[in-house]
Amino acid sequence: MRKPLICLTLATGAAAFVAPSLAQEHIPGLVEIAFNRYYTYEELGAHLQAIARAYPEIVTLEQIGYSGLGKPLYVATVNNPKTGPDTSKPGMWIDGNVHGNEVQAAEAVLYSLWYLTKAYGRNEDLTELVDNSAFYFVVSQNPDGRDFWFEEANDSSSSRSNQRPVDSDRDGLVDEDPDDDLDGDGSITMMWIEDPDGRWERDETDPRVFRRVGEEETGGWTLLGQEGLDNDGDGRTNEDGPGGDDMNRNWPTDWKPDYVQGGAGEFPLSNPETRAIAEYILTKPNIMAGQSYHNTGGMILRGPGASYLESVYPREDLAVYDEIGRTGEDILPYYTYMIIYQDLYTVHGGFINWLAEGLGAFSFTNEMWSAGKYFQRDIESPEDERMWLFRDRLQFGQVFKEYEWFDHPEHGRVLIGGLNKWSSRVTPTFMLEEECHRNFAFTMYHADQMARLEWGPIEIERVGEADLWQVTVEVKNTRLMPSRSGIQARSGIGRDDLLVCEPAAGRVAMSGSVRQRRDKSFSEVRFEPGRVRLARGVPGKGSYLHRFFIEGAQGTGVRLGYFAERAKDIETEFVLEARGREEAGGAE
Amino acid sequence: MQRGVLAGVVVLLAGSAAGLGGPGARIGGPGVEGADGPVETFEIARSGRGQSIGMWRVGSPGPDALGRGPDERPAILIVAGLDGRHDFGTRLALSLVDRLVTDQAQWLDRYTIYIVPDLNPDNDALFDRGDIPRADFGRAPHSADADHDGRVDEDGAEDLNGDGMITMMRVKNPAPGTGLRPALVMDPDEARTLRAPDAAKGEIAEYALLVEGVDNDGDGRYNEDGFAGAAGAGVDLDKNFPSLWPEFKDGAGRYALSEAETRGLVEWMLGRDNIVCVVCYGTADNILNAPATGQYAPDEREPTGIEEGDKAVYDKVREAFKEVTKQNEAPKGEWAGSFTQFAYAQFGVWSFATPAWVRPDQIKPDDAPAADDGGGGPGAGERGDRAGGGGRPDPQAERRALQERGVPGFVIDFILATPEERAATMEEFNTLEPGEQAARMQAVAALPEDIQLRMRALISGQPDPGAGGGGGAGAAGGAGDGNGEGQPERPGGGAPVGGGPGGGPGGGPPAGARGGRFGGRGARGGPGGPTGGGGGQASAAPAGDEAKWIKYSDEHLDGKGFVAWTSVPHPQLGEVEVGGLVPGIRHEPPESEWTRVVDEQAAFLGKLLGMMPDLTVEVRGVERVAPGVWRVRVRGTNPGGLPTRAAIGAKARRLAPIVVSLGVGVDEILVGRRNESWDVLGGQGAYEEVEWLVRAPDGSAIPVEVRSTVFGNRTLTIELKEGE
Repeated sequence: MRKPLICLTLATGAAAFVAPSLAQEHIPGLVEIAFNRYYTYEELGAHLQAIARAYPEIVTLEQIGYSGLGKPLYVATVNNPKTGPDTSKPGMWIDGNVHGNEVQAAEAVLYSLWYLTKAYGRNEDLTELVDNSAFYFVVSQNPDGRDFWFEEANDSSSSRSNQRPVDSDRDGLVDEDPDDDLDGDGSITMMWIEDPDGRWERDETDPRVFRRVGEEETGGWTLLGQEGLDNDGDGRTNEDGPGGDDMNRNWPTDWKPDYVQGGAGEFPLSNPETRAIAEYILTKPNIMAGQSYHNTGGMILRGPGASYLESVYPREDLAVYDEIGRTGEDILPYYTYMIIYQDLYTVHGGFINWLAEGLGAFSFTNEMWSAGKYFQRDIESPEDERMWLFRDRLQFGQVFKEYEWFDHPEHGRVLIGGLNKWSSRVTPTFMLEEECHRNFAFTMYHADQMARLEWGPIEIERVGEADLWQVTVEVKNTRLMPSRSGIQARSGIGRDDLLVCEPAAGRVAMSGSVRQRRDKSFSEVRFEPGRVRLARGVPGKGSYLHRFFIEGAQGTGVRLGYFAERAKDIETEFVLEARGREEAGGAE
Repeated sequence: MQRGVLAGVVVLLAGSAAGLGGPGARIGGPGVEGADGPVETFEIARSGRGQSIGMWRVGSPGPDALGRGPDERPAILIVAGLDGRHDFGTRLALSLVDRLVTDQAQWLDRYTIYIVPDLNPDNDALFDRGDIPRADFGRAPHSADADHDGRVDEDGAEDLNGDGMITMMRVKNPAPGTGLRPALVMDPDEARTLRAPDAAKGEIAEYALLVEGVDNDGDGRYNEDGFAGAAGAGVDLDKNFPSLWPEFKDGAGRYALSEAETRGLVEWMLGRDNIVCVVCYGTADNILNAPATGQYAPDEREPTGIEEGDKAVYDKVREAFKEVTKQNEAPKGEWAGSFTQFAYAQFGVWSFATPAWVRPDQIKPDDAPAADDGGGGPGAGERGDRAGGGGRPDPQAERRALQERGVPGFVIDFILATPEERAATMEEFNTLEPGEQAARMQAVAALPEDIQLRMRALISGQPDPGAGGGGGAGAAGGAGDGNGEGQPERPGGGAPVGGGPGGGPGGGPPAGARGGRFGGRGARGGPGGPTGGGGGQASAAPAGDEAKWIKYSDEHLDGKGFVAWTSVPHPQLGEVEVGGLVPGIRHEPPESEWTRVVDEQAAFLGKLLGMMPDLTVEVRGVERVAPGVWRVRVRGTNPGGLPTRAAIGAKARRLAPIVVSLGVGVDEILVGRRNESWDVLGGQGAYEEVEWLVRAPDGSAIPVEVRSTVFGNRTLTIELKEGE
């Protein structure tokens, strides 16, 4: 199924590219993409291919499957093969738009790929990050929902699901009563009817505004709901539109059937999109960080999705989440670091819940765009007048459809109009690039916290007169994340880290972990003392100390390696001769 | 679903079943498939290794009086062979194809029976090829690095005594350095079995018990990652279904329905909305062991047992089953992620599971007193994989179990913490605001009693009494207590044995603080210690019912169901004794019993078919209210013994209700909705009616369409004339 569209043809040294650049200097790229507009899925695909063609030395574009309606699903990998294959480095997953209507999520992913590739070799920080990590980008998990939102009449919240036909109202007929764009304006807006007993009144000075009246009052208007007909004559309107599966409820961890949570799908990974992505991710055991873009509300969300899973997150992992989440609040003004079940709502079988709890990767969902960004001030929920100022004076009325009378076959004379699909959840195009950039910057910070290992000093002492050597080694981690997360350790996810000590002759007689260099008590590894398994890896911003007793003649060479699925392996060599404490001369 | 593979499927399945020691796949019948007969075969999936998984459809071909084909009539689905150890289920299910045709033919015009006799052909093939000795291993042999050490399938079991079987090995007073610690004593009542020592009687553990084999990879653990006799490798298909999927449980698979077999079955089932009831032949029973009502997963919606509204049906089916089989005891199951759980809580139908055959002492002839239910009982132990490799404590499972009981997170953290972490937490506690302290103490006081006991012990620095074996006793936790998951002890503060020592440096706990699969948890931010470093593995726990099976072997099998303990040199452990129950004895009846069991199950199916729900629809009244205005009424009746759908089916909303749709324009209906529906029609002739007031000319006719995925679609005509 997977086929590389673009093969690596060049192997150019990255370092040669690096040129000093000024902080605010424009970084020219080989592909020009405007980020003050939105793109159809086909256009996104063309941009991906252009980027892959322009930067073949670090980008691989793969097609991993098809959407339900047959659109290609892409993964773009950014990796410098000269510093090793992607799976030899800690990996970060970045995707968006699993909900079809949450469109700016895809532009955020595209921007990230675009900026990262053009900065490679020109910006020192990002070049260094790419040389030490792998990135996996999926611009849209839901091409069918995205295109349906663009092409068909929708409101800001519709076309969330994919397009798999679902009998939403269980009447034996499928997708038979969708919304109807009665006024033909390309958006699904509201239907109002004059009604002496109605509980809404229309503002006298601004007829765009309807307000609810007080308890005992009547206002002359009733809201009929969204634009539509009772297409199947069952007395209900718009109750079975296209699609129905919420693909962000279709992942394996804590998945629950449809009656517990609507939209879950028939079983975990029952959709072609979710399955293809999951199967791909399972081939990348190096993925240690995840970011999934959604809209809306300005949130940096972490799991769990359900209260009863709270204790799945160990304290040491939460410390990492908190540090990254709080830094994100600074990088992303008007965004708040939150917990899904606590601050949003309960989610079973969510994508990042699978990444975080099922695979043990540190993962966030960012809900892009928030009301505060309209005004660049902290405003909880702006009142009508201020919103209209924004819509009228900054968006020039483009998000509103004037009310017009319509002769409705079921209700008679109704008023149709109101805010259109672009009005509330989608970042206004003139503000899109900044929002993409800040989110991109947040993910680069996140990625930079993946474990980075190096050797600490190696101490070699001869034990008495015998050919027995006591060697104390240290593995340091300079980043925030451990090389294996607490969730991985607890749940048994992935291969344990391995610390391997191999003398060219002789043997490792004993070994064990120690707390401090001068500590004589020691947690012995009774079996395979030269191949030590570490379920918890090396902690973030910390180190791991281990002591080997090696039987071997003076001058014997010893190879030492630390092998991790989610950090770059490190290897070094030393020689059995008394020399006390010494910095490792080993290369990575 | 593909047709036209009939011959291939039959040969494949017959071949695989025959290979397991039986003279043929079926008991007492040559096979009844043939052109135009009531039996047709289909391939519904391919196994992980590409073998065909077949489905036999039994039901009269062609349209019935209502124009329904076999897939449009109410149906029972029978599934067998999920667990390769229960090969008898496969043989039984195939035999039932014949029996349905010969003995139950009267139902085949009205109902359909789908039979999937072997969901796990790869397991059969594993043993058929002879690469692997006969073993108590029922999983699909799909590779995974079960012990997370970067080596795949590297440490399976070995037949050390050359008898062609993987049994057990016991090690008396294992030598230091082996990593083993004795946890069991010889049972004075049955010297061929071991049990936990009784500390009160001054007994001291002498034996360690393991699955037969060597430590191929030298990691101090035996048979923890390979096929045959050990848990750890492969996928337990009956833990791979979505409802309550036990995510990190050994053998559950990478994700629910990750296996071609389980996913293939489910995808096929989801297109068969005429199924009203499922029977699974396997290793466990939920017919005699009535599922609990009113118990739910933490989401508070998904039942872990059954809905209250389905209890009457389960009671009725149990009575029918007991009447036929006289069984009064059968092995219990663990249902999380099982096919039976999926079929009920997600697919939404009554779902029954039985091994069909049980030990003779579990059958009560007429009114004889119930069989002795001595130590441990049949319990989950019969299902539990007994290898020590699979019996390491699983903190995640314990965590989830505690969560499911509603224990607050901070309490769980405390219980599962290392002593150092606990000490830190207690220090923290002292610094809390008095209000917060009081709140926490209240929360603790509200805990179930056993959890409170554990908390108290831990606070006072004693071993966790709930963790199965404390430091002092050294007894194998879980041994003989019926939980049967081979739960080894956690080493207490004593010598480092069992799993590895806890965390290492950086504030981690000292050696031996807490063994376990992945070492202990380091203190806050500190690194963990090495995994499994301090020793080998703890002993497997006996399942608790060994003595009964030995007695059965003595009395009914001439003792051939038990391999006497004999001394065998072991390359790593010195002299060990190999012996124990013959693999499969728990699941495979002697040939002399086959016909009886098939007879019983055919009779049970006959009873189930006799209870099946049905639907009749009739026009019950046409009344002229005014010229051109009519009151019309339609009645639906269920003459069957069971309701038209399960309570869970209505709740799960997976199936549409019975829809009755009046074929006139909406504007012609004065009272009533065009589409009315019946959620459920209770059995025994219960009925529901719908009524409309409709405008139509005298003498005209109105069509009524009745739609049901279970009972098929049909159209009635209402003649609008007075005096019906």
